[in-house]
Amino acid sequence: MNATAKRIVLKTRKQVFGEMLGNNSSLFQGEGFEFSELREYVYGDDVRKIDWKTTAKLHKPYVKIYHEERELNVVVSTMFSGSTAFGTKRPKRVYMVELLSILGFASIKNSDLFSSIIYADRLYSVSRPSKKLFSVSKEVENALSFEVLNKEADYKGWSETLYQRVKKRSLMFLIGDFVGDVDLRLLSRKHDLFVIIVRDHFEEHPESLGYLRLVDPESGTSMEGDINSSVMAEYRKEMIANDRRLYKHLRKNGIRYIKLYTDEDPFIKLTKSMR
Amino acid sequence: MSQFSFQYPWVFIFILIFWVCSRYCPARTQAIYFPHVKQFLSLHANKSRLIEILKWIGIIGLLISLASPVFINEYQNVKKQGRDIMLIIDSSDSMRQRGFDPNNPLKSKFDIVKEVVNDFINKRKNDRIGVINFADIAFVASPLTFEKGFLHQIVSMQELGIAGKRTAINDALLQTYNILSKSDAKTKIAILLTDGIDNASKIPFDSILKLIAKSDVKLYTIGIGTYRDFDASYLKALAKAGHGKFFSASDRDTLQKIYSAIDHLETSKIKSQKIIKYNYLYIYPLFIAILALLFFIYLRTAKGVE
Repeated sequence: MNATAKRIVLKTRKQVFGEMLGNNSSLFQGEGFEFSELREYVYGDDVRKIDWKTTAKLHKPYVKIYHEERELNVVVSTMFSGSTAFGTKRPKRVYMVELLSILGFASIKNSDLFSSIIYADRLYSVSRPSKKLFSVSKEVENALSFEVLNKEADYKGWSETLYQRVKKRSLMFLIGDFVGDVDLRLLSRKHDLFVIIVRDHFEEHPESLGYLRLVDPESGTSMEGDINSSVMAEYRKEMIANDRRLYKHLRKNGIRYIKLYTDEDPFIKLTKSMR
Repeated sequence: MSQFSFQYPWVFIFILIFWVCSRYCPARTQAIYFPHVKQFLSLHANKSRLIEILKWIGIIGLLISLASPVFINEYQNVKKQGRDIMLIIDSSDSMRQRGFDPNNPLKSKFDIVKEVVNDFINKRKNDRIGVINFADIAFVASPLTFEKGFLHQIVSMQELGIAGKRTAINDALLQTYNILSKSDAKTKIAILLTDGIDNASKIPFDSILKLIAKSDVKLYTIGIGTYRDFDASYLKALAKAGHGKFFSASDRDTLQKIYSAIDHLETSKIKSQKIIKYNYLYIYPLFIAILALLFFIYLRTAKGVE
């Protein structure tokens, strides 16, 4: 296990299992669970589960109990296209691995089944669903050593593959930069989707770079020339159009999403948005 | 008469080398991986072609100037140093004689002389030629001129009896020397063609001989017909005084040979005097190339390329 992988695993593990945030840091609490019953509060229950409406009516603390379907399937699928090699602070792909690690440990903590699927221009690896901490470390290592350059993102193939390969209804995290034609309609019918868009600030707000050669990390095509502000303005326009399209699609299909930047700490923002 | 050409055209092979190199082994400029270039930027790749164009203008301009484009002026000085040739043609009655050309016995001497002279005019490309016709009197049929077409016309217009029936060689020579003395050509030549003996001149032989000896004109004399027809010693004396040669022709072929002999005697010198003047033009493409390269460097550094 190399240093980066070790660092990621230790950091995220500490964040997920750490004392600092209390024992309430389950990311998936209440996710897609059906309401089952109300019962009186007993010592030891999470105080936040107290339903204030019922409590107010009956003058006794009541907690809302959800039909907790244990052994939730958590599937984390990463789209390691070539463009994820980019990043000013750190490569997007490393950031994505960190996310994978957080989600992995969180699901282990919740004793959910965790599996990771790596996809780029085709399917690369599908891990067996597991509840062991070791499997998370292994997947982190596996994902970190994945060579992303010169792999073109195939979003259509991605959603189709996930639809076919993941049989059981799952909580599915899709991590990628989501630039391109993304169609998750069918997949969102079957699974509970959560899209994590990973971007770099420079990627979204590029400045003029001067005269040099830009190489596309996915296709390897390059353009040489004066990368001035007008060229970058075009780029920015295209990027905004892409995001507009993406958000519209996600909202329309009721898919939750979050956009994370490589210079942000993923854990806090992720925890917030999951609540 | 200027001709455009390249002194070292093989230099243009280098353009191919540059092209191949730019295609298959481009210089490693700064290259960075940047995401979504293909999706977002390929459409606008043409925007910064100016630098590329300037670079190629520079390269091609330099190679053009290396290939040394020139205007070659071959005949610039030849005109000044060309010869002036006077052809003195006898048109006395005796020229009416036939049978000079064995192949074509019906033609008169005069017709044959006209043909041969026309041939001779064609050969002398860079010389001014004049024609003097004489019989009783001598007259200038054509002054010294470069116009070959005009000369041909004039020669073919000459007819027997146009100037009389007798022969006035001395008068004709006087006319000739008169004209040639006004010309400032370096080499002046007179070719006298006759088939008779002087019997009508107003100028005495002695004074014409003196005139010839004093002048720098080269005089060739040709006698045609049999030895009875012309005065060989008389013509010889003239030729000797005029630093030239005497020839005699009894038929068409020999006449032709004599004219080509004279032609040869004079051409060899002309060739040696031919001056090729090169007008070098490399400065213009070089100027453009350097200007383009300057802009190229300026633009590149302005855009932040070390």
